[in-house]
Amino acid sequence: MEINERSISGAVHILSLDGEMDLYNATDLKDTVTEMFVRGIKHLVIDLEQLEYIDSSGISALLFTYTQCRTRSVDLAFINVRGSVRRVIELTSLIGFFPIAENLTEALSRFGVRQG
Amino acid sequence: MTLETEQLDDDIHVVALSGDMDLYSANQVKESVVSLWESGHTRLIIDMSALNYVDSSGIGVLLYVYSSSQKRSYQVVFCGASGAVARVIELTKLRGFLPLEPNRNAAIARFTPSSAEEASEDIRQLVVDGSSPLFDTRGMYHKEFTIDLSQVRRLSNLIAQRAPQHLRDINILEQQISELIKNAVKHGNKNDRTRAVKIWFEFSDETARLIVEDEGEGFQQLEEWNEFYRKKIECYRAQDFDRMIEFLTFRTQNSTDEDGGNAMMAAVEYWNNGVVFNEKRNAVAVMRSFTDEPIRL
Repeated sequence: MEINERSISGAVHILSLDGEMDLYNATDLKDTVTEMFVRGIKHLVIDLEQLEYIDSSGISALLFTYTQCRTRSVDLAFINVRGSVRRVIELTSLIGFFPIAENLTEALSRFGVRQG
Repeated sequence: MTLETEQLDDDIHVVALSGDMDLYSANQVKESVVSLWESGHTRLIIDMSALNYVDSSGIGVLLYVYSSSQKRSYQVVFCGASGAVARVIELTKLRGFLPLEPNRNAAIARFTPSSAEEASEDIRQLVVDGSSPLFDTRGMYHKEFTIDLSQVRRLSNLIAQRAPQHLRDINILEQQISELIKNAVKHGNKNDRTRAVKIWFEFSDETARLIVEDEGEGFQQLEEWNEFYRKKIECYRAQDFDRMIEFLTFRTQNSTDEDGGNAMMAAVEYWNNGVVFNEKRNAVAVMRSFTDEPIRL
């Protein structure tokens, strides 16, 4: 799995996950977001569009991200949740619980941040 | 005879009878009860406190109502029989057979506290039953592996490749197989390559079956897990997400940071014909059917 970070005018941070998030690499996401929390980010978007596979360890990394954001009052949205990733989130009964937004535009409007 | 229907809390319906219950009016009772059942009301009280008289056809209907309710797993309680009605019930030896209560409040108290409990019955659970048909290995492909965690995904992939293309379902099948093998390698065999993982599997056009056995101590926290998962799903159904946070990750003293603590939650939903452990709990048998209705075993 590759994790790429970009930001919108330094305010909203977007992590794109690419490939497969499984027992071998799910801690990479935990490490990445932990480092971002240290930097004091306030708005986080996790883009799952290019994520082709997720297992229980990957779900655990998403749960970690969610609970940490909650504790630290960081805005969070998971976007482009589709295919097998959505299916595993469904099977784990986390649809509705996770802050899932359709796409980046919807995530930004939830955060109350203007795009551009 | 007159008949009045009243709805109480918890979707309990009272059918109150008064006057004389004979051949003609008995039929009326039967029709009212059946029509309540057909409208989905499965918790009934037949209140006979204002009933003065009942003949054999009336008794016949009371029996019909009771035995039909048993067949359908609906609940019926009879109450308030006194005087001549109580005597007929006595003479026909129905006391002890029919669920009888002296009055309406006592009848209400017999109903199990409604929806929450009934709903929790359909929450999926892990089962312990080594004699389950899911453990029947006849005709299954079998192989033994000595692997560590690094080979779990590769092995799962090889197994999933044997399934018909249409069962692979955006690689969820492989993912679900890998969770079971990972548990066996990691929690069962403690990632020790001298211990074996035995695997049986079988795919048809409509079903996937798998048995994974390790050489470990067995999943001794299974009952705790079931309780934990039940609470999670109750929170989920009530959309009580603040409380659900406590039930996201199942942990034991052997859990590590890398453990998702949620693998069996998806497994118990995915394997729709059951997730069954043997008595030692070091082997798990699972089955999924890909038709609309799970196959009854």
